[in-house]
Amino acid sequence: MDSEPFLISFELSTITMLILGIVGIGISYFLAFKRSIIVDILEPIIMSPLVLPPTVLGFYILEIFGVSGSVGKFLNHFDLKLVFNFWGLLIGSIIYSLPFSVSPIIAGFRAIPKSLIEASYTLGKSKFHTLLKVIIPNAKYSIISALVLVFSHTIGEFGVVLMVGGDIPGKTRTASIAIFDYVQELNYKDANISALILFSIAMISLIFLQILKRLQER
Amino acid sequence: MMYINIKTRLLNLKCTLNKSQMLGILGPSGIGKTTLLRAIANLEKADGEIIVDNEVWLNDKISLPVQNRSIGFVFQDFALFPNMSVLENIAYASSKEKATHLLEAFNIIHLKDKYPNKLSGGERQRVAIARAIAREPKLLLMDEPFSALDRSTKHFIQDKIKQLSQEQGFYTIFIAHDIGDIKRLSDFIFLVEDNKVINTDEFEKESINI
Repeated sequence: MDSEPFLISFELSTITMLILGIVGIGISYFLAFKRSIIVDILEPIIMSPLVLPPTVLGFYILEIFGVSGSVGKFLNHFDLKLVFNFWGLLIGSIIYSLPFSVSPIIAGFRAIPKSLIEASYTLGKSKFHTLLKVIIPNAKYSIISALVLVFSHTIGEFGVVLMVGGDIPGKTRTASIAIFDYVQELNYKDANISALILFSIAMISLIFLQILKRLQER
Repeated sequence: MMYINIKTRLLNLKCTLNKSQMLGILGPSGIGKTTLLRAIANLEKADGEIIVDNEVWLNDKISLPVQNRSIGFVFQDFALFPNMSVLENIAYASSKEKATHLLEAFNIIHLKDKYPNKLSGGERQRVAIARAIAREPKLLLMDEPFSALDRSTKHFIQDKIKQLSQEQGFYTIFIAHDIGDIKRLSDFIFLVEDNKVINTDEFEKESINI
């Protein structure tokens, strides 16, 4: 069995998780506490990967970032290419996993009593200081849950990564694509081992989330 | 001197307080007392004028954000930060030295390393009052600050607030349901139902006449 697809998947999941940890907190703060028409429009757009078929999402990412896409054409001027390479996978994963990051964090932020945030303001602290010292520490379980969800979701991603990254060995062939390839080649032994590894990661993530839930309830 | 002429959806308060003076707000539940207190802090929208020590907090053109109004606010639900110990809560807007000093003053130094979820209602209330004063505000706003305290602790805390108010010179506006608390602490009373501010001595005389 080739270990490279797993290394790519782990690398992709870790970087996606780290980026969405920061980006997710920023977006969640905006969505959780702002009341405006922009929020009402933005929230469904951010959550759309939850209901969109991954191939549809992958297709649109290709359309935008591909060589003939609007962003792709612009990036061509700087000799940059964002499809069929690792960066394309990363952009696809970030967009696809964004709701898995934002959704639990928003729930965590909204569960914080309003008076805690107001107390910080009355004590002269800025919104940013309040976010760092009051909001994030009191939503830590939601944030950790979001990170675990993003990691486990990204590591098993198939549709979007296939559309945006293709199936280039050593470059964009991730673990889930490798399983598909093994089955195509009737190599059930390697498919089985790979599937078992992904299955174990998913189960460990779910058990971890369950433990977090219990800790939060205490 | 502090001048307030503020109008919320339900109430209209107009008063002038000198340094260290206290105004108690007395009225039935659901009449908008908390909203009034929140409006003074700019946690709610309000019209009118607030001038504290010649600094305009609110008028037709200016509305200082809550962070820039020098206030201490004691919330009805205490609003202690659950992720911080008692000492950290009080030191949040001051220093550890100042926080320790206040913990000693309020007789709760033994609670300094405890977290809010391990405190009783009365202990939380005392921590919330100490935290609001720790910032050395110009105006202390308290929403039913003595509701969870027993009689002797309540009197001790009221005396301490009065003493600190004299020392630091802050103005105080507070809501209380217990008429005894209001008479004991405040120089003026805002009778919400009558929409008027009267001197506490005057209130005593009126009560006797009734």
